Amino acid sequence: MTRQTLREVNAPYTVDPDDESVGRETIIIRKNGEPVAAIVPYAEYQEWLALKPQLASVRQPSEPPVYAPLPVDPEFEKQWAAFQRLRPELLQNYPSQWVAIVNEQVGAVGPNFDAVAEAVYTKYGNVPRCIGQVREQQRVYHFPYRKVIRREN
Amino acid sequence: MKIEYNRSAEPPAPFLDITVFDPAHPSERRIIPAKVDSAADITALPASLVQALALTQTHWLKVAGYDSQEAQIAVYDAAIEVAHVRAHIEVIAIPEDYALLGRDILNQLRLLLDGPAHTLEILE
Repeated sequence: MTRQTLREVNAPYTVDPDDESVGRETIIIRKNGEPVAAIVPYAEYQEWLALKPQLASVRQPSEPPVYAPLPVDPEFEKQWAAFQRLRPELLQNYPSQWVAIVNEQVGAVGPNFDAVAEAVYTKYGNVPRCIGQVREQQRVYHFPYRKVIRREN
Repeated sequence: MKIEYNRSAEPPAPFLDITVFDPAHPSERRIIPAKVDSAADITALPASLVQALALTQTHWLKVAGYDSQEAQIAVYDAAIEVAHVRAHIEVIAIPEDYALLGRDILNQLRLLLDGPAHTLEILE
C-alpha cells in the first residue's frame, strides 16, 4: 500500500496515471497525517459498486416493517353497522350472550364466540358476519404490547 | 416434552409452534412460532398471515396497550391448534412475524415455565 501526502493547495489534486502503483495497489491519501481518501484499482472499485446495496442494508438497522391497516370488507361493515343499530334490542333480548349478525339480522346466538361462529358456518357458510358479545359497554381488551394495527380513520 | 426458550429474544422467551388456519378453509394451514404472553387478553397473529390466509373480520375491538391508550382494531375469525388444544377464536393482527399467545389459549393449557433452565414444558 502506497501513502501519498495531500498537499494543501486549492487546485484539484491529480494522480499521475503513469505512476506504477496506480491501478495496481491501494493508495491512501493523507492530509496532516490523517487518511482522507483512497485510490483503489478499478476492478476493486467495480466490485465495491456491486456490493454497495448489500452493504447499505447491512449498515442500516433493520427498520420495523410498517403495516397499513388491513382492508375492510364493506359487507362486514354493513353487519357491524347493523350490530350497532340493533344494540338496544340485543341488550333486551340477549344480554351477555354472543350474537352473530348475518344479512343485517340476528343469525345466531350462543354462550361464546366459538359456538356462535360454528353456528353461522353450519347455517350460512362463510358469509360476511359480525360476531360480538352483547354488553352495556364495549369490553376493552388488555394487550400490553407496543404495536397494534389500528383502525384507519 | 421440554421446549427450549427462544434465545434470540432478550431475555430468552418461551415460544410454542402453533398451527393456524381459516375455519372456512381448514386444509390451508400454517405453522408459526408464538410467544407465550400471559399478559395478553387475546391472541394476536402476524398481519402478513392474516392477509395470506384471508381471515374474515368479525368485529372491531377496543384494545388498551401498555400505556392504557385505547385503539379500535379489527378482530378476525381463526382456528388455532397447539399441543392437544384446538380453538376457534377471535384474533387481532400485529406487525410481527410471530404470534402472541394470549390467555384465551393459554388458559386451556398446562404449562411449566422453568426460567433458570430456559425451558417450557407442556403438561398433559
